[in-house]
Amino acid sequence: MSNTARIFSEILSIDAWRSQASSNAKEAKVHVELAFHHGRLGGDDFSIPFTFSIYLKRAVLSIQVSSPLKIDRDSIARGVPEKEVELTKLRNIRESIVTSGSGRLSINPAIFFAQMSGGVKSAKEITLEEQSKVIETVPPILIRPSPTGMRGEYRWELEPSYLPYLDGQPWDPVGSPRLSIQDLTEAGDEALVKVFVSCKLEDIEIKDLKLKDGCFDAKLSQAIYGDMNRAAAVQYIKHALRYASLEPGMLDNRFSSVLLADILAISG
Amino acid sequence: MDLSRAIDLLLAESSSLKELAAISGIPSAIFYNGADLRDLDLRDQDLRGLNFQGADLRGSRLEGVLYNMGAFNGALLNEEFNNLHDDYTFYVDDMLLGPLERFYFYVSFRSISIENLLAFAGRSYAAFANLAEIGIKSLRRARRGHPVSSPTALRICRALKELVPSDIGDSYVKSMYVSIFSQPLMKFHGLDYVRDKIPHEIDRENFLKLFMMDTGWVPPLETKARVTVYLDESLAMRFRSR
Repeated sequence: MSNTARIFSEILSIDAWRSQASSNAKEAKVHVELAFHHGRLGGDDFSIPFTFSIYLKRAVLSIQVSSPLKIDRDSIARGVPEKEVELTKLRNIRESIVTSGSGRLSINPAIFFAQMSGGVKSAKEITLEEQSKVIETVPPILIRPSPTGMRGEYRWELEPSYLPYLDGQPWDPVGSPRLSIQDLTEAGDEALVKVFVSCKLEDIEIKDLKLKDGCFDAKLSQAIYGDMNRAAAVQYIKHALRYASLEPGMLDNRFSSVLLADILAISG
Repeated sequence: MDLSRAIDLLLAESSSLKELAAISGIPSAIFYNGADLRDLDLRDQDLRGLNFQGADLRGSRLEGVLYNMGAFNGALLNEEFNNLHDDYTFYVDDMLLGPLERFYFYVSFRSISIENLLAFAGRSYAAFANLAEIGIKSLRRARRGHPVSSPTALRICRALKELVPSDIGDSYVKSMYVSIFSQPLMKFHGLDYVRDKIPHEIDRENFLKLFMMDTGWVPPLETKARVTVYLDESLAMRFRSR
C-alpha cells in the first residue's frame, strides 16, 4: 500500500493473510504476524548523515474490513492476559514504575517483581529465580482490545510489561487469528482487509544518535553537543519519520500519530 | 526525508528550546509534541509559544520558566512541577474538527482567555457576541469560565478564529494569537451537568478517537461508558425536558 513498511522495517515485521475455515466456506480467519525488534537506522542510507537506535514503547494494531465483509464479533481475539482484572493489574504495576521513576530509570524484570510483590524488597534484592518467575508468568507484551464501535474495524493496543520497549511477537500468528470475517461473496478476494500498525510520536524512542565517520570533518563528528541540541535533533528526526510515513492527505498535526506499517490480508 | 536539518539543530549555538524549534522549520507550537525532554535544565527559559502535549519532561528542571497556560497539559513532569498543569485539555481546533452539531455537551473556557483576546483585538463584548451570533449573556458565562452549551462554544471558537488577521507578520501579535490557539483552552463536560450532578469531564483522547473513527458515526448507547461522549442532540433534549 505504501512505503511505510520500508522505513520502519528495522523495528517491525508484519505479515497478514486470510485462511478459509473448512466448515464454512463463507467465513475466513484473519491472521496477523507481527514482530517487534530494536533497530539501528541510517547505516545503509547515504542520505542520512548519522545513525541512531530506534525503539517502540507502544503500538496499536487496527484491522479494517470493507463491505460487504463483516467482522464476526464472537471471533475477535481477546486481550493478553485474558482476564480484565489481571490485565489492569499488570498495567497498573507498569504505570506506577514509570511514573515513580524520574528520568532515565528503565523498567526490567527485577523492578517489575519488586513492584508486583508490594515493594517489600528493593529491585537489587530480587534473585535471578524471582526474575525468571516474572519472565515465565507475565506476558512480555500486554494486549488490550480496543473496540472502535464501528462494524468494520477493530483495534488492539500493545504495550510492554516488564521490558522498557516492545520486543518479540505478541501472539502466535497461526494459532491465534485476530478475528473472522463473514459474508464472503464470490468476489470475496476483491473486498479488502486492511491491517495497520500505528503509534503516537511519544511512543517512539530514539537513542545513541551518532554522526557517521567520513560525512563530516573530524572536528565536527567529535564535537560535544548540548543536551538541548540533542533533544531537539532527536525530536526533528521523529517528525521527519512521521512525515515520511504519511500518505498524502493524511497530514494532520493535531493527532501526532505515526503510521508504522500497513498491509492487505490476502488469501493465504 | 530531509534529515540535514537535524545536523543544524545539533550544531546550533543555542540551548533555548524556543530558538531550536524555530531552526527546525516545523511550527514551534507543535515541534515538542511527544518529545523526549528528560533530564534537561530548562530553568528560566522562555517557553511561550511552545506546547508539550505528550512530551516527557521527567527529571527536567523547570523553575522560573515562562510559558502559556496549558502548555504542559498532557506532559509528564516531576511531581514538584505539577502546578504547571491545569485541567483544560481541549484546543480551539478540536472544537472546529468535525460536525459537532450532532453532539451536545457542555464546555467551559479558561477564564480571562477570551477577555484577553478581545482586548487585544480591540473588540467590544457586544461586537463579539454579534460576530459569534450568540447572546451577550452566553458570552458573559463563557468569558467567566462557566459552562456553556457546545453549540455556543462552537460559535465562539469560529468567531475567535475570525479575529485573527490574515497577515500576522509581527512577532508580538503572532505570539498573542499563538498563545490562544496552540494551547488547550477548554474543558468538556458530559450531560450530567444538566442533571445537577458534578459534571464529569470528557477525556480528550477518547473524544478525538471518536472523531478519527468516523465523523458520521453516532455512538450507540451501550458504548456510553467507554467513549463518554455518546451525546446526540435528541438525547440531550430528552434529558433537558425531564
